[in-house]
Amino acid sequence: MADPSFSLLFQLPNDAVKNVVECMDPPDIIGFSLISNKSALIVKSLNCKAEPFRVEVTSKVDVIVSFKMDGYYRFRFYESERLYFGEVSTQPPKDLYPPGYMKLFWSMDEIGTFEKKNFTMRDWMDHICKIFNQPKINSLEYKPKVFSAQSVKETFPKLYQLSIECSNEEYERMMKIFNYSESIRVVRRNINHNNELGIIPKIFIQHFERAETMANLKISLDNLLICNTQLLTIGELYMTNRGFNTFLKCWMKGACPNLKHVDIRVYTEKALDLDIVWKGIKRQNAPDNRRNTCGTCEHRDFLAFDGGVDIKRYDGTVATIFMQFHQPLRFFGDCDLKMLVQH
Amino acid sequence: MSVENAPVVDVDEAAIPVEKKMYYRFESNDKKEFRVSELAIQQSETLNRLVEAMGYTSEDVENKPAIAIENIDGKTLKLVFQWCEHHKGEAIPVDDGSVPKIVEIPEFDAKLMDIDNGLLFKLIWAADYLNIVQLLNVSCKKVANMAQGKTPAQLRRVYLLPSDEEDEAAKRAAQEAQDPRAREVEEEFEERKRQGGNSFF
Repeated sequence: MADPSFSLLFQLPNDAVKNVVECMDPPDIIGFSLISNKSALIVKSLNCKAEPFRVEVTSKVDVIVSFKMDGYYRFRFYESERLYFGEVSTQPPKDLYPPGYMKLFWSMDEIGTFEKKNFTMRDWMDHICKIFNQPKINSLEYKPKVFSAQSVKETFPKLYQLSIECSNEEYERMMKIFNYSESIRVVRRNINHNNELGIIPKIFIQHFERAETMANLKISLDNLLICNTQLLTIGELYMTNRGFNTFLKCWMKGACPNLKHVDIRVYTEKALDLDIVWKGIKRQNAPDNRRNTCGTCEHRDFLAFDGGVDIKRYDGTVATIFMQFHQPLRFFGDCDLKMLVQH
Repeated sequence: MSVENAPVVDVDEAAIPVEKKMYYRFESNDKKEFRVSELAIQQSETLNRLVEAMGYTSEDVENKPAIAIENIDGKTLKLVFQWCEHHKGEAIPVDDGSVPKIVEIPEFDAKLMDIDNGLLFKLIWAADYLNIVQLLNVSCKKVANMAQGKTPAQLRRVYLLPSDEEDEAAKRAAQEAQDPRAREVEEEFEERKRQGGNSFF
C-alpha cells in the first residue's frame, strides 16, 4: 500500500516533476508554489500565462488573475479589515502590513486559504507575477478606506491603468499619487451626482495613452474634440447626427491629432441618419474583406473590424470608420462607432 | 482485465504464445526476461523506435539475445509491461499544455500502482525513460493526488521538500565540494571589487 507521502519528488526527472505539479488541483498548485523559491520556479515553468492583473484596493485587497477563456483567480488579502456597505473606518490610514494569509477564489468560489506570515504584500505580488508569468498590472482601483496611498504606491509601483470614480476631488487626489499611470478609466458610481462630471475635460485634455469612460457619463462634443489620448473608449456618448458629422469633419481638419483607436457607444436622439452623418465628407468604402487591426500597438486586439469607410485628414492620414447599429429604431439610434487611424 | 491477468510473461514461466503476433524479448538490469507484444510496445515511444530501427523478424526475436534495458529492474519492468499490455492499441494522449492537466486513473491502473513509494518512484522513472506518456500521466497523477487539500507546510512534509535555506546550504556545500579553490578565487575577486578594482591584473 502506498504511503500518503512521496519524499522522492525532487529526485524525479524534471519533466516528471512538472507533470506531477500539472496534475494537481489548482489550489494545490498555488500551495505548492508557496513552499520555496524552487517550487515557485517549477510552477512558473508550467507556463500558465495570465492576462495582466486587475487590483482593487478598498478595505481589502483583491488581485484578479484572469485567463483568456477559462475564468479567473481572485487572491484576497486583509479580509479582517473588510468594511461592508455604508461602514466607515475610524482609524487613520494604515500601511499595507504583511497580510499573513490569503484567500483564494476561482471565479466566485472560495477554494483555499494560504498562510505565509513573513510575506509582505509586495512579496505576494512578486510571487503572483512570477508563477503566472505576468509582470504587468493592468488596472488599479484604489479607495482610500483603510490603507494609505503611499503604501499602495510602494506596493504597486508599476501599473498601466488607474481606475477612478468621476469626482474632481478623487481625480486630483489620485493623480497626485499615481501620476505614473499611463492610462485612466473613469467610472460613475452614483448617477445622481451630475455636478461631479466636470472631470471629463480634465482627463481628455491630458496626454494619456488610453482613456476609458463607462456608461452613464455625459460627454459633450466639445469634450470629445479636445481629446488628447491615443486610445479612447466611451461607454455612452449622446450625439446628434449633425454632431457626429462635425466630429468627423473636425478630425479631418486636425482635431484630436493623437487619436489612434476609438471605440464609442453612440446614442443619437433621432434615428441615425447617414445622409447627415456623411454630409460634405469625402470618403471611400473600404473593401468588405479588409480586416482592420492595429499592427503596431500593444493593444492590437482592441479594435478589429472588417470593411468600413476610409476618410482622410488634411495631412493625408487615413482613418477607417466602422458603424454597427444595435437598435435601428425610429426615434433614436444606438450604434458602435469604431475608428482606426492608420499610424 | 485484472492486474494479475495482464499478459506479460516471464520467459521461464510462460509458454510461447500460439498467436502469430510478434512478441519481443526484453531483459531488465537484474536479468529478468519478458515477452511483450508488438502492439503493447507501441505505448512506449522509446521502445517502439528501438524495435523499428532493429527491424527484427520473428526468427530474430527468438534467436537473438533479448533487448537489454539496463536502467530498469525486473520488478519495475514487469509493472511497465503489464500496463502496456492492458492498454495496447489505445491512443497515446497528446499534451495540450492545459493546467491543471485532466487525468483519470482507471481502476486497473489504480490497482497496478497500489505499491510502495520506492516502487512508484521507479515506475515514474521508467515511464519517463521509456516515454510512455499515459503511464507517466497516471503515475504522476497519483503523486499529485497526495497534495489534495494540503497547506504549503503540509505539502513540504508530504514531498519532503527543502526550504529555501536548506536549498541555499546544499548549493553552497555542493560548490565547496566541487572546487574549494574556485570559491577562494571568487571571494578574492569580490574583495577586490569592493576595494575599487575590477581586475586581477
